[in-house]
Formats: sequence, structure tokens, C-alpha cells
Amino acid sequence: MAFVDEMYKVISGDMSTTDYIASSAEGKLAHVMDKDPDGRWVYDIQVAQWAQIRDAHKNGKKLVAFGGPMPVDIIYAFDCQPYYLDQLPLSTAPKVDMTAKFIDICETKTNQSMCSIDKVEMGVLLADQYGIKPDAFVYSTVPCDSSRIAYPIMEKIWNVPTFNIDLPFRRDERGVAYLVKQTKEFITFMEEFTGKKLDWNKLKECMEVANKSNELIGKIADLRSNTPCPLPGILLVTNACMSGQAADPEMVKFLEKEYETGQMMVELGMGACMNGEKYRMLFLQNMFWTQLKAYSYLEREYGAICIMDVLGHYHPDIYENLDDKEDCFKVMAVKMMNLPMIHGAAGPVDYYCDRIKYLMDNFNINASIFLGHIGCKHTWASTKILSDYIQENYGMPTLLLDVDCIDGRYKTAEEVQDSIVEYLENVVKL
Amino acid sequence: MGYQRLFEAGISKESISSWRSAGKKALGVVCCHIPHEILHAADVLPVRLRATGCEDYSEAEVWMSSFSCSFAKSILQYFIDGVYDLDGLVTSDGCMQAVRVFDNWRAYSKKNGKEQVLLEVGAPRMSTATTKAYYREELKILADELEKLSGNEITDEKLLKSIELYNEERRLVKQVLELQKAENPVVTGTEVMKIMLAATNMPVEEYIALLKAFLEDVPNRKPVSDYRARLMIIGSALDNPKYVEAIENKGGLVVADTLCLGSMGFGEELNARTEDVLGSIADYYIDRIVCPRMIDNRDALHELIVSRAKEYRADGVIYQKMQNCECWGGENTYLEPALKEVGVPILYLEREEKLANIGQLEIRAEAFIEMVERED
Ligand code: SF4
Ligand code: SF4
Repeated sequence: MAFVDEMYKVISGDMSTTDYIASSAEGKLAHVMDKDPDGRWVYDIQVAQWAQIRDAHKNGKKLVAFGGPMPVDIIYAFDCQPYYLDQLPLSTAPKVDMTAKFIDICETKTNQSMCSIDKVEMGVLLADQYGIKPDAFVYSTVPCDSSRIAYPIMEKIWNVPTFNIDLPFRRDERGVAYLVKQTKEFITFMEEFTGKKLDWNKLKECMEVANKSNELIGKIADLRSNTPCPLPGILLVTNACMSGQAADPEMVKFLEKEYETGQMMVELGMGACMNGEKYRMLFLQNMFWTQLKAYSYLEREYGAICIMDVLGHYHPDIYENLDDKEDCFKVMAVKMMNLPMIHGAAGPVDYYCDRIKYLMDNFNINASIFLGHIGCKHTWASTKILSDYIQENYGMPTLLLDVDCIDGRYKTAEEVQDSIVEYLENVVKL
Repeated sequence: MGYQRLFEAGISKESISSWRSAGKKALGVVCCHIPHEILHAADVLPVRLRATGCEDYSEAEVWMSSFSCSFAKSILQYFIDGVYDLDGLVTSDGCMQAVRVFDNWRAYSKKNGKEQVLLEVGAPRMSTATTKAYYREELKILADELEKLSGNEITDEKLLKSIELYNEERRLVKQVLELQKAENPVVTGTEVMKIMLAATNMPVEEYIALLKAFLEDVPNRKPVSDYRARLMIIGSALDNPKYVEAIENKGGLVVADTLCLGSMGFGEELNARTEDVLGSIADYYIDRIVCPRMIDNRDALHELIVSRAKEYRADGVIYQKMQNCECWGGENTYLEPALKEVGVPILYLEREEKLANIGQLEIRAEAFIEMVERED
């Protein structure tokens, strides 16, 4: 069945982003079923997740939009449907014209330098094209200044019950206790919002699912340390969002399949670069969501694979004792602090360096690239510290390359590929 | 007593050096969530960092890239250039680029073999009983560190005295600001900005004495009458009186502000609770409205801006935003309609720390002044 892209309906305002993304995923799945049924698992998860969001009300669930680190397992335990807002810009990014529409709308109300992740989230709301209205909007004070500008405006427009969590600057014991306290306050909020008491057994079920997902997330990340890297760079695109849906059984299915595929490749001694692996790149910041074809191109033509994006790397904690409430809350707190984007970007630069150290020490990296999303100014403001750190400790220079991860008008895939190739061939020179 | 020092907007090392030469410590402070009262109680001089007059921050840009805020970069540049001669730095995580001043300052000093005292305070970004309690603990840790650094114990009595002193400063600054309400004030906006900037790098006692001398002299000062429009200035950290001067040269009179290095950095008086002095400091600094860094103060900030515009009879508001400043990036969404409702137009300007394009500023300001000027 041929897949028909209905992006222009979104641009003309005749279709909501939720309907578009959900139906595109369904269309792509149908297409894949014809051509390569074994590859369906990549689409199954998208179909399932977007259908859950789109149909939340139809399924009798309250939809809880969330931004930044929140204890999402609790949202599941109240039988509500979470909607991680960053999923939206990450999903629309490859559609340059459509994404541009929302970015432009947002810029008329705010400023151009804001992160385009937030611009899309807010632009879609200003255009009234979510297609669904959340029943609650809960968000934290990080990841950044940009989200702190966008979310309160969105809160005002949605005008639904809201709860906020303040993430501590330092990730220490006091910070954990601070988050535990706020998590308990969040439970009170959810109890009032849903009119139900928290059922610990239900939460336990959700935490068990989250544990399965999180174990797999960790194992998949570790698989990528193999040489050659068994999984393509493009699979890293989901990193930024997976944590938000860890308690969704559909996520477990997807991750099991990803792990199985990766493990099979390792056993066969095969890598994702079909013509052999040469460059093992660490991307120090985000993924280049808008031009995903660049990943496949670099792998195919140059044997250059993105082993990991630092802000997307996640090695989640696991709930050890599901009957020990305090301990579970602590794990939730630690997980919030260690989420993708949060761990490196939203605190002192030391945490960023620690994560780089872990990846450099364990993933056999031979090329360091700061593929820097221009909206992420506070990470740009640490580029010399990070690149010096890598140079001094690993004798490796770092390429600083500005991109807009969400707004495809900023640079084409070709421009980015060319800069990376030039760097690999003239500086890294393997 | 002469009060000329109030109008020297440049960053002078003089008072800091004489303070330090007496064997006492001076720490740079970034942003508005480090209570100066606590530093004062330890006899440590708080020097609120700014970068007035920084025209070339190219070296800092190597550290912080061209994508970050030039105010933050310029502070780092002044550190690199040795404009600031301090024992170290104490920061709160004001905005995320200001935080990087700390990270880069630390990295730079380490690289150059001049490691400094570096303290960081985590300041919550919302106001609840839980966040205030957390912040109170942060302040306790800060107080402990300051005790170690200075060798002076911080007692409740000392804190109360410091609070009273800073409250006196707040009252006196308020009197200066009140002068701007007059139809023909005896101070220009440029002068008021200089007065407020002067507080950043001198001991509060000296500042109070200068303010008193200035206020005593008010009857002798000449009222300003040759202006075409009363303006209020808001937005990102602004520390350059020349920016205000350019606007005033075109016939505007800046009569009010909501700048963090202006009136907002002083705020209302702090009402101390003797049973929990540190707690009352924590509550005050979390609740005080300074800028949009908090996620739950937007409505209050907008209301404050609108009511201040009315109170000072501003004909227009100039909203200047530093390029790459997120913090002040979204206020227009609600502020513009709110100001429109009370008949106050707004001019939105982007700028950099260095005043590279003053001609453009003058043209935009003049056009705006023409639009809002009252025909009396
Ligand atoms: S990429 Fe950076 S600026 Fe954008 S949402 Fe993430 S942390 Fe914020
Ligand atoms: S001007 Fe804006 S970006 Fe710069 S330090 Fe201040 S709040 Fe932060």
C-alpha cells in the first residue's frame, strides 16, 4: 500500500499534528508490512504511542501533557495517558515545511533565539493544532530557560490543572530528598485531579514495566559499545523520549526487539555500517532529528557511525524493592535527574564531563563532534570546557558544528554531512 | 559630603582593592539570588558582577561560543582581563547562561593557575514551602562556607543588623526612584541607572552615605523639563548607562525600570522573623520578583510592570532584550496586550552587550518617542 504524506493538510490548518503523526505512523507501518514485515517493530511503537495519545479520551483516559523530568510512572499508575511534549517536535522535524509553520508562528509571539523544540510545542498550540486538549499539564523547571519561557505561556493557553516540580541544581542526596518530597506532592495533585487514591499495587505494576524497559535501555546502550557497533545511529533518535514511556508495555516490546536485533548482530560479528566501520563518532549534544538520512549516508559512504549522543545517553536506575515506598521514590528522583538532556544540559558542567568520560572510556570512540543545536545556548556556552576536556584526557580534537536539530531550514543534510566528512578525513584521518 | 562617585558607572577596582588590602574577602556575585546580607554578615564584600563598557569579548566568546548571551560572556571577559580583582565567585543558577560564567571562570582560573574560591547556590525556580525550605538549606551551606572563608561567625544578630542595613539601602533607593515620579524630575534615567549601578562594587555603608548625601542635595538640583516622552525600560540585564543616554538624547526621559541591575535588584524591604532569620531571607529572595527566571511569577511580573508604568506615568515601554537571552524571550506574549489595555505602547529592541549600533538605537528610539509623545 502506497504511503500518502498528508503534511500539506497540516500546513493549511486542516489537520492536527496528532492526527498527522498518528496516521503517518499507521501509513508507514502498512507500507512496511508490504515490503519488509520484519522491520515492523520500528513502526509498531510509533503507531501504538501516537494512537494512545490521540485516542486517550476515546479510551476513557485523562491525557496528561508533560515537559521535562516528571515521575511519569505515577501518571501511568493513575491510569492516565502521559504525553511527553518533546515527542511532537522530534516527530515533525523531518518535515521541514510543516515544522517551519509552527516555528514561525511561535516567533511572532516570542523570540527567534528560543530553542526550536519549544517553538514547535508552543507554535502548534498557538495555531490550535494539537487536535487534543490535555486534561492536565505538568512540567518541571528544567531542561532549560527556553522551556521555562514556553511552558508557562502554554499553561495559560491550555488553562488546565497544572503541577510543577523544581529540579535541584546539584544532584546530591539533598537533591534526591527534595525531589522525593515533591513527588509526594505530585501524588496528592494526581489524587485530586483524578479523584482517586494512589493504588500502590497499580504503581508496582507500572514500575515493573518501567524496570523492564529501563533494563533494556541500559543494555541497548551498552550494546553500542561493541566494535563494530551493531545498531545504526538512527535508532538513537528515540533516546530523548523513551524514558517518558518506560512504563508503557509497548515500549518493552520495542526495546526487546531492538535488543534482540543488536545482540544478533553482535553474535554475527556484524556492524550497522554495511561497508565496514571506520569512524566511531560521539555526538556531544543532541541528535540531528531534522536530517536523519545524514546518519545512514555517513554509515554507508564513510563507515562513520554515531555511537551515542551524549545528551540522549541514558542508563536508568532500576527499582530494587517495589514494596519499599521510600526507596522507590528515591529511584524516581534519581531517574529524573539522570534523564536524557537533563543530566548534561541542566546543571553544572561537571555532570556533562562525567557522562562524556563514561562514554569515552567505554565506547571505543575515535571522533568527537559537538553537533550543537543552536537553540541550546547553555550547552554551547560550555563547548570549550568540553572540547578541552576531551583533548586533554583523550588527545582528541572536537569538531564544533552548529545545526538546528528541529528547523531543517537552518542547514541541509548535505551541508552537515560535508562538514563532518571534511573533519573526519582531514583531522581524524584514520 | 560629595556624592560624585554615585555617577561613576565604570567598574572601579579601587574600593574592592582597599577592602581586600585590609585582609578581608570580596566575592563576585552573579544574578539576584545570592543574599548580600549573608555575605555582609561574614564581613565579605559582595560585588555584583556586570560588564559595563565591555567592547570586546572575543576571548570569552572562545569559551562560550557566539550562541550565548554577551552579558554573560562580557563578565567572563572582564575576569580574563583582570578587571575584577576578587577572591572568587558565588553564583546562583539565575539563568542557564549565567551559570556558565561560573563554569568557565572556574575552568579559566584553573588553566591559568589562579584557582579561586567558588561557591554555588541552587536557587529554586518556583515558590512553594518545599522550595523555600530547600533554598534555606542552601543558604545555610553558603553561610558555613563564608564562615570558613572569612573566619567570622555568622550569627542571627549579625544577620539582623545586615538586613537592617540593606533595608536602609532599599528605602533610600526607593526615595531616589520616587523622584522620578515628578513631572520634572531632578534626575534623568541615565543618572538613576548610574546611581543603582554604583551599588554593585562598594560596601553598602559607603553606598548608603553617598545616597544620603545625594538626597540631601535634591533641593539644589535642576529639574529636567526638556523631554518629549516619559519612558520605562524593561528586559534583560542592562548595565550600560550609555544605552539609556542614547534614548534620552532623542527626547525620551526614562522614569522607571524593571531591570535586575536596576530597581528590581533592590526590591522591597525584607521583613525578618527573629525566630528564623535565615528562613525569612530565603522566603524573601524566592518571593521577590526580579525577572522571568521563575516559572510561577509571570503574571505577577506582568502586573508589576503594568502598574509601574501607570504609577510613573510612562508614555511608552522599551523592552530591550539581549540577543540569545531566553529568560526575557517570551514576555511579550502577554505583556504587550496587557500594556495595550492601559494605553502604553511597547518598543521591542534586541541588543548586545557592546554598544555597536548606537545609531540604530537612536533612530528606533526617536521614532518611538515621536509616536508616544504627549501633546501638552
Ligand atoms: S535542546 Fe537545549 S535548549 Fe532545547 S530543550 Fe533541550 S536543553 Fe533546552
Ligand atoms: S541577560 Fe538574559 S541570558 Fe544574559 S545573563 Fe541575564 S537573563 Fe541570562
